[in-house]
Amino acid sequence: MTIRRLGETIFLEGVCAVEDAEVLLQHLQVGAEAVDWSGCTHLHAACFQLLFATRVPMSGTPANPELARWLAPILHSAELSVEGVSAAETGILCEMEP
Amino acid sequence: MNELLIQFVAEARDLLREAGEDLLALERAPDNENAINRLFRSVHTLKGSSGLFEVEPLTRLLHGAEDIFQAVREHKLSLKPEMVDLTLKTLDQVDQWIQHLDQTERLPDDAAPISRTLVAELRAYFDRRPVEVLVNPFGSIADPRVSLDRWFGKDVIADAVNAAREEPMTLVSYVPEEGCFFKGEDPLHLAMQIPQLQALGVEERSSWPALYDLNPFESNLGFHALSTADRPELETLFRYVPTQVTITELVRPPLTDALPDAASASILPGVVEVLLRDQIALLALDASAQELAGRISSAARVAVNALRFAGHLEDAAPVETALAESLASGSSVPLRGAIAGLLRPEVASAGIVPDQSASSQAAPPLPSEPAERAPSRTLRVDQQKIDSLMNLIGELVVAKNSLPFLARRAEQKFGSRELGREIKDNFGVIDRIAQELQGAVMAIRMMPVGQVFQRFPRLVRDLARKLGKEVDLVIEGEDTEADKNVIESLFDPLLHMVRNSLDHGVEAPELRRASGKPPAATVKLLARRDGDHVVIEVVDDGRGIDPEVIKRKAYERGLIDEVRLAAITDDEATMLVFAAGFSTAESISDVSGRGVGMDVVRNAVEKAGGRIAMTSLKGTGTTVRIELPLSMAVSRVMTVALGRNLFGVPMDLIEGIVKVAHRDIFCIKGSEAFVLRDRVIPLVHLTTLLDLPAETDVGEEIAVMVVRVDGQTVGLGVSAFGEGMEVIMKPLEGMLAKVAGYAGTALLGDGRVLLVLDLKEMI
Repeated sequence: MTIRRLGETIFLEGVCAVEDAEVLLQHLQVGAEAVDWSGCTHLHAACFQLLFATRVPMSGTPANPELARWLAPILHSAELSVEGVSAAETGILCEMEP
Repeated sequence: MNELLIQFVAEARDLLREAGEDLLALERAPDNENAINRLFRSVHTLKGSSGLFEVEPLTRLLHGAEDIFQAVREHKLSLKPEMVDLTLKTLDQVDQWIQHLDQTERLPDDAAPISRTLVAELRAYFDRRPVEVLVNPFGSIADPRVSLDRWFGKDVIADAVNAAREEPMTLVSYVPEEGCFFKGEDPLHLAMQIPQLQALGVEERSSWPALYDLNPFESNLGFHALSTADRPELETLFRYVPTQVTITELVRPPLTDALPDAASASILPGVVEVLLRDQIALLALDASAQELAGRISSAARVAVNALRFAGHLEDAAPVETALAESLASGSSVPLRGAIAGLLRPEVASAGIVPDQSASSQAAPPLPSEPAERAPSRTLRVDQQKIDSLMNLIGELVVAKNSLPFLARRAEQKFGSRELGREIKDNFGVIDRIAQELQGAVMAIRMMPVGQVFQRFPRLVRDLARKLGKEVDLVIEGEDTEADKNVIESLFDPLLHMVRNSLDHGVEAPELRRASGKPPAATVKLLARRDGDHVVIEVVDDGRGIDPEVIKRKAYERGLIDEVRLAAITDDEATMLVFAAGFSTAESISDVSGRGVGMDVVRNAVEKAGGRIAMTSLKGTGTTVRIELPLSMAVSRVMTVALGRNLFGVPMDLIEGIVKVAHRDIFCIKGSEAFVLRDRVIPLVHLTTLLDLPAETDVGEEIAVMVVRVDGQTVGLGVSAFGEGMEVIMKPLEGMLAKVAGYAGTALLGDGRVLLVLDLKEMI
């Protein structure tokens, strides 16, 4: 299953093809807090278009570096919108590499 | 690996380390001209050398950092702590990439986006270009529908403008038809396939309908991309949808340097040419005489490296000559001339105006750097080779130890005293050689403690900022040397201790002021050699430890019972912080206070064969002292005979050996004790500790080994001492690992196994 919903998060996994757009739209119409695309390897324009139009916050970095490089700056990032929180969480010094 | 890359990695590490130090120095003293000049130079050199490899994100990132440092140097920008954070982060990133380059010869896959984000962050502090230029930097676009700033971020455009200096830039606008999804097209995939894509922007064709009216199978997208690929390449990609694509070549913005476009005649590779031009531009800037000298050397080094890389070795010689000239005259003109001459003959006269300011200043001749560095006398050896050498020496030591047994056998069994003596003589010689050999290998493995210490200025700075405290870190004795393994085992305990000092010890500036201390706390890291130990101390002048609080906490946590609570001394209470499960912090913070701190430290130190102690004075500060052996490979033990059994006691615990007459032993409540140098020392018989049958043939006096365990002095009664020897201790493994009381085993020269006692556990 390439589009899966868990609570308020929609997960995109593997190849999100054109036929997945409808399912994605339904999820988005219901409303979601974020779309986690860290498992996404291919994103069809039809799916991308929905994410772009709804400006739903994206979380994670997609598995495909090309997607991360070109689309992450375009789509609405969940990390940026909750910057305060994530900065505090990532600032833990204990895990610093020796 | 490519020779040039190896050299680059080594050089980059040095430069990064220097840059980090300079950056911290600069934060402490923002008007430190030397630091900022060195910093700029380090980053500039690094950027220059990185241009020789396929590491574009790295070069771009360094370029971003260089821009900031240049602005700081020219006093256009003042360095704020957040900027230091960011630039340190940048240097860290570069460091990681260098590491990656070293291991895999390439950058990680995510380098490009990381670089872009960081560069954008760096640029946010300062943007050299006014915004209006960014809106349409490519003058040629007359079409009102084209607006780069709507599609691409400011930093992307700025990057593109930079990139366009080197390669022609093309704007591709691709608006797929509405029904394209039904034709099985994936316009997004196609857009991302654009060769040499530099930037990608998306825009809706018409405004989006409400979510419930949206038709997911109707495309409403328009893609705009910047690429450095040729038109034919782009046309090939879009060959099936030619009507939906507009390809516009963007006119290049004028080059900032006065040099004409050298794309035609020069035979140098593009990257080398760019580097050379950068050097000319750098040399053309005004600078003080001293700074100029540094700049000249660094520019010449980059130029020579670049030429070598391009295989133009013969061109490197004039540059080196010009370097000497430039350094001697204190003017950059000769070097600039020489570099420009390589680019294109006619450029040399046109592009270079004699540097009036520099030559009229008549700067005193500078001490010229030796042009040729003496070939390095350092060998880089794989650590494994040293380790196997170490193991061999360990075996030699064991083998050597069998000679005294042989000598005794020769004497006792074969009755040849003479042969025995000869064997002993030979043993003396071999022993000496083995010891020297061991010393020599140890010396190879020795590393200065500074290797560990040098990471702390940065750590302390970050921590102090995070905790809102002011801390000056003082480092002393960083030249003290110890075995590599010891040094490496040191970092974690030290990190814990420094973190604890900052979190629990050092008070907030207001509190310090209120108690009459300077607002900035001093944390000292001291190292020195003490016999065959290295002593490291972490000293802070913070609030110290309140023994009462410790006692209460220890009691609450069930670490001590009421009896102990009443009897415990303040010093002993302080040592309780090393007990497992102890933490005094009111709340768990990021920094420390998870209750796993100090006992982890103690375990790590003890595992490395060391000792740890803490002294503290409430209100004035805390000192933690770590003692580690210089080397961990060979341990010295004293053998002890108990009837027919032989045991080893680690030599570093032994304070002395005495014979005590039976009449001098007195009993206190059933425990035996004796007086040694006006001290009462409890006496324990090793046979009792080991549950062995008590010895029967008691003479007039007994042998007592005085040992110091966990801060207490104890006398161990034994029947006889053997000799002191060096052994390679092996920890108990498998089933035996559960047996308590033994630190490990060692093989003796005669094949017997020596059990080394773990007195800490037994007493």
